[in-house]
Amino acid sequence: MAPGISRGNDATNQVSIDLVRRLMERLDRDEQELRDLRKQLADRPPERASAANPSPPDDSQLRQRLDSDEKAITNLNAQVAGMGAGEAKAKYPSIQFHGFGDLDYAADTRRAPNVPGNVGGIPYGASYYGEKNTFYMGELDLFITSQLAENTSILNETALGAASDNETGIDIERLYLEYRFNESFILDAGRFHTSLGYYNDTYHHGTWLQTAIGRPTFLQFEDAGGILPVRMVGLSLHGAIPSGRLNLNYAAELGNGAEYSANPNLDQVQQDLSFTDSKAVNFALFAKPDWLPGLQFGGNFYYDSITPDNSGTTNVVPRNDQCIFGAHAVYNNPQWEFLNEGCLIVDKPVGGQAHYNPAFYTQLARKFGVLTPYARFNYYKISLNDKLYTIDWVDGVNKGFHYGPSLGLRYDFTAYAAVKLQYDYLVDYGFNNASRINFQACFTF
Amino acid sequence: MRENMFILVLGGALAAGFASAQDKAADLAIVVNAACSLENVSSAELVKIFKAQRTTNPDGVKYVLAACQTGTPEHSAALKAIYRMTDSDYERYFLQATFAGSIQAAPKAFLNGLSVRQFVAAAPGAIGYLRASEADKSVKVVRIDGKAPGELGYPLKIRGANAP
Repeated sequence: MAPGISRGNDATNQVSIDLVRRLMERLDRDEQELRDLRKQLADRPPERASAANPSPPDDSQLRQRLDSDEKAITNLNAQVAGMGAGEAKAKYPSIQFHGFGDLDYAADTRRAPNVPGNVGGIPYGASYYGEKNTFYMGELDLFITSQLAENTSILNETALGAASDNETGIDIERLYLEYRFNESFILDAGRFHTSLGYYNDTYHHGTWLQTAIGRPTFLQFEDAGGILPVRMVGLSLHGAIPSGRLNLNYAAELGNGAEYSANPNLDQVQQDLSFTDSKAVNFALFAKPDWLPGLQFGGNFYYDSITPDNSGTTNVVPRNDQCIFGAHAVYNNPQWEFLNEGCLIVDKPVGGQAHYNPAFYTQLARKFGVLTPYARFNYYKISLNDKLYTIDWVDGVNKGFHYGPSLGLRYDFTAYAAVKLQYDYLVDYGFNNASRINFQACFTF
Repeated sequence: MRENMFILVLGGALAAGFASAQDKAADLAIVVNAACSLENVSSAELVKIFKAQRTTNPDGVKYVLAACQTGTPEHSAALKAIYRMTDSDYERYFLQATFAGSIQAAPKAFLNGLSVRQFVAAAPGAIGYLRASEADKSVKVVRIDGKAPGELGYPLKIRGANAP
């Protein structure tokens, strides 16, 4: 196959499938004919010479057809089998394309103080709260991978999404070049998701792949009010550690950490300019033991020396040493999904006392055919004195405690599209407790 | 009497042979490229290979997975015995793995076992499955937990398979 774009391998073979089907139909017909001919020959009664039929029966015509059909069948078999051999030689670049998208509706009882109408809504999960109820566009997520050589590939995820100003923006969410030395040493260079646990490493922007609507609150993306550096620009070395039935895996990452700034127009992911010479590092270790397929548990340690951008603010925040200790234990198989993750963010300002900010979520889901009911509980708490989180996001909307349960139902009405209905109860420091209803139609193509 | 005994024994042997042939025909064989040194694999390891969690074979060559198309008895047998998934779970699993960046693509899907055989015979690192009766010398049949297709206790069966 010449280099080109395809949607998965089924599509790669699509050109040949019709031809092969036709060949197989011919094969079936011919084999049936062969059986009939053989039967005719076998059933033919012995004929005696007579005046009306003086010579022995002549089967030559039947035998000729039989020979001809057998030859055709041999050729057809060779053609069908040859379809496989034709694909054996890999061709580069081979491009795979997938897309994801979602359309949503949300309504809540949150009253945003001093925020009239839809202006200045507060980032929270899939959308904003404290606004009028609204239908809203989710993201159109374009996902491309391309194998450039046997051990070299690229991955790109570009998302188009509407913001609270109703303008559509475009973001290169992930873009990295990967080189696989072997199973134990795989090097990625570019923009990737930091190995901060299970969810961040497994789920990205395609909501169709996620059971619930939106990510756990403490794992929200930085530009949606998140509190963690979930994306990194730099290098990631990862792979398997020979460990028998424990199946250990590791990741060691080095890159620009997140930026903390009072400037709302500044992207927290430092993908071009870095505010400091120091780089963030992250180490993760997790196991997928043989003795319980679907189980994964592990932890990570992240460190960054953060110099906040204090320009344009009187709320001067000193340099902080940030350590993030994470742990997760999940059990995920086609029927059950039991996800548990937590982390402790320790921010230590220069010359000041350390702030300890805990966060966790737990999520349970069970698939019953096309229906998947699920429940999730989110929690995080940011110290009121942690100035890193008061410089960011609308006067530090993340400060204080934030928690609440979510209940939802996912309905996969077809193989590549689903709808989800979710109820959230929101308890957030400084706001009234609120209920929220979300609806999402999501798909992949 | 001796004639009757002889017929009985002959009949029994024929029946056993027929049953064995039927068993083998109903077994799903795992085949690799003939140059691959893999001889035997455990059931657990097989799952990892076919879920693309093991990416290279013992010779250090990258595995290339060859599957039969959705809807074929071979694919259904693989879903049940190896993946323990439904069709949609299988699709989602490989889409998720691709999205997470852990694999480049889902297994190559072929129309039938003959095409899988030809592909595996021609592609270094290829591993696939087909009816045991379709395997020939162009590919190597791998033992699962020490058992070859047709042997008692061989774990991979094609339900409702007819001997061709």
